[in-house]
Amino acid sequence: MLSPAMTQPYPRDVRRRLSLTSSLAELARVSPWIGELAAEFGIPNETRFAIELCLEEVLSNIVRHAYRGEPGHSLTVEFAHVEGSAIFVVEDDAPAFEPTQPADVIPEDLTTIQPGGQGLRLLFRFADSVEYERLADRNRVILRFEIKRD
Amino acid sequence: MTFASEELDGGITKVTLNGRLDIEGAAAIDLRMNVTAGTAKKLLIDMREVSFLGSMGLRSLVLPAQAVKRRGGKVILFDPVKMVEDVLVASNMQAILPIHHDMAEALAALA
Repeated sequence: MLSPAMTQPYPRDVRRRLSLTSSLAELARVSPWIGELAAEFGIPNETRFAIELCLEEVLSNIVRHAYRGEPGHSLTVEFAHVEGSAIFVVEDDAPAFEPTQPADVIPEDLTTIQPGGQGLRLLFRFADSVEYERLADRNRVILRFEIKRD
Repeated sequence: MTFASEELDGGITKVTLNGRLDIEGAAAIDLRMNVTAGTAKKLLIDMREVSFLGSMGLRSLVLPAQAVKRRGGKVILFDPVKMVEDVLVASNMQAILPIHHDMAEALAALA
């Protein structure tokens, strides 16, 4: 379900774009790209950390689950600097998948917790907003991070 | 991501991680973490030089910790930087992967 913020127009003043193919090895290109953006737009270290954490989660989910590890598909990440926020728009052409916030379950026992179930929790904790839109044949996830100065 | 291990007094195995525990970093240490966890009973993971922790990296800590725990052992994370600790806390992992910032306290907790 779209949040009220989705009524805002998609930011058109996109400043940067990163095109990736569907392999986990490709995701190693994201951190240096974020580093360049951080230097150029004065994004502080804590915000940069949150951005990298959330993009790793979204992109790796697409590669591993939406594309089922198949190579050759495309993903794009677009960045815009809008009113004190860093906006990242991730698009893929996989079947529809809306990231939703998982229930906040506190693991009781080290031996029974599911180590792979933390990614979406981290995504919703570290991004200031997470929005999803299903386009005609694409998924679009919009992540917003308030740029808090150190 | 680099991995180093050493045996301390009291049967404690200390693993020192250095670098980014992202997808690439997790892949680099998984095998050695699992081998270490296969024999260690008291495992201290030195997190001071880990600059990034994502969900795949979290898995690289939890799975070995589960292996140690199943054999009746203990695992402690030592002195992660603030943002790494924030990830652990947000994942509710600090309750089962306890964090210590003082080495003497960490060693005492493993004794």
